[in-house]
Amino acid sequence: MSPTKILLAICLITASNLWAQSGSSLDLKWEPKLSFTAKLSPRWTYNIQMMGLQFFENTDPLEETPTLERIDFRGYLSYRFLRGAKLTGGYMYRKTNPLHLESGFEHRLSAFYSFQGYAQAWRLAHRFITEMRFRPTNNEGRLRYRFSGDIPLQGEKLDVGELYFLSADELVLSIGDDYLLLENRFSASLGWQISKIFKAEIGGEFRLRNPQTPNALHIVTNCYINL
Amino acid sequence: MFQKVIFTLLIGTTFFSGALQAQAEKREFEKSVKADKLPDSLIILVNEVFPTAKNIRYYLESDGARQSYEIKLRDEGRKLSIEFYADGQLMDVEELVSFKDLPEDLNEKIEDYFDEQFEKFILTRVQKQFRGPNTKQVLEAIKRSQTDHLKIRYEIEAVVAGEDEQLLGSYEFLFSAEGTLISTAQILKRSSDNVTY
Repeated sequence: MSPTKILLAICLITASNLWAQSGSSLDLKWEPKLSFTAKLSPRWTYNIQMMGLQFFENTDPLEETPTLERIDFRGYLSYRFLRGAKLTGGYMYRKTNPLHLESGFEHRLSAFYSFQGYAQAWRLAHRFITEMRFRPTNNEGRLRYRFSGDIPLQGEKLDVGELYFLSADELVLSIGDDYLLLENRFSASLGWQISKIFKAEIGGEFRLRNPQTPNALHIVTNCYINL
Repeated sequence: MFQKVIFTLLIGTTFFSGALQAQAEKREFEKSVKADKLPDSLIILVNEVFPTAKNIRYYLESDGARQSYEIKLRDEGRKLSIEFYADGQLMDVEELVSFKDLPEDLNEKIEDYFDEQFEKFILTRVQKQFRGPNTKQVLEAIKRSQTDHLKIRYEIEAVVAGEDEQLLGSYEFLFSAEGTLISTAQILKRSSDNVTY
């Protein structure tokens, strides 16, 4: 059995276990993302991102517009190995409830290892992350693994103007002082390679959580600029 | 406020990318199509020579200046890609092969080339390319594996790294049957930002 099949099986088994344990409530949110990537050299790449997360409805009587839950600013630096694997380090600053007087924040340090391969027109990618979250209330470590695949919808090569399909499944293990929480994130998106440097995606990400936390469905809209 | 910022950025980048696209004079594409989009004569010919072929796929391709047709198939365990000009003339046939299956002297010569030119390299794909003046004869010769009289070349895809960091990347190398380098071209892969970050 190949490593890809083993990792995919782990994702599916974990998702089904979480599904059996999870509660029935569901939060519906919009998650827009703007990502900019540029090469510093053939080996070094940097990426900066701005992300938001907001409810589709007003969850706070003091607000007039749908509740904005958080804004993220992220920056990453990646080193590419000969076979295409990447080692990435990054920092994120998160502002929670940014429109409230009692807003919060988080600092996050992450390290990724990612690599990819091809199965005919499918590009299959693996990503392992270890990260540390620093928050005023507590600190938390996380281990994450994501398996994703994308495929052009016309032919084997993704050309300008062409649509593509992207799907991913990610396991997130949060490690706190007195808890251990597992989450499964499954997503499916439709992408459009608008020009050589610009692509856009729209899709959904379902976050299956432990019984104490509501599950969530994020409608994701991603814009990528890659120079 | 936040929605306004996002909206402005989205609109701005869409117009920016649209302008860049409009400036591009050449539009390269490769599109999967149904068999009826290719000339009947090509479909009949391929079916006649490879009657037991499986997993047949049809493509329309353009390099921006000219259009071509491509038929990919599996025949008796061989993976073939047959490419035709728009007028139905055969461009070439490519067969996916293993590098170790190349003639020993050619194998060594190509390996020597990579050793001399690059600090590190990984051969990722090797295709044997056949050409000839008569389309049907070329296809039949490939079917019978009697290809000595055809013009043969080897297309090798490799990831290479040189002392100069700028050399790092995927390239396509075309070698003659004698192991002489004919041409090189960089392979531009899909950007991986959406699966990395």
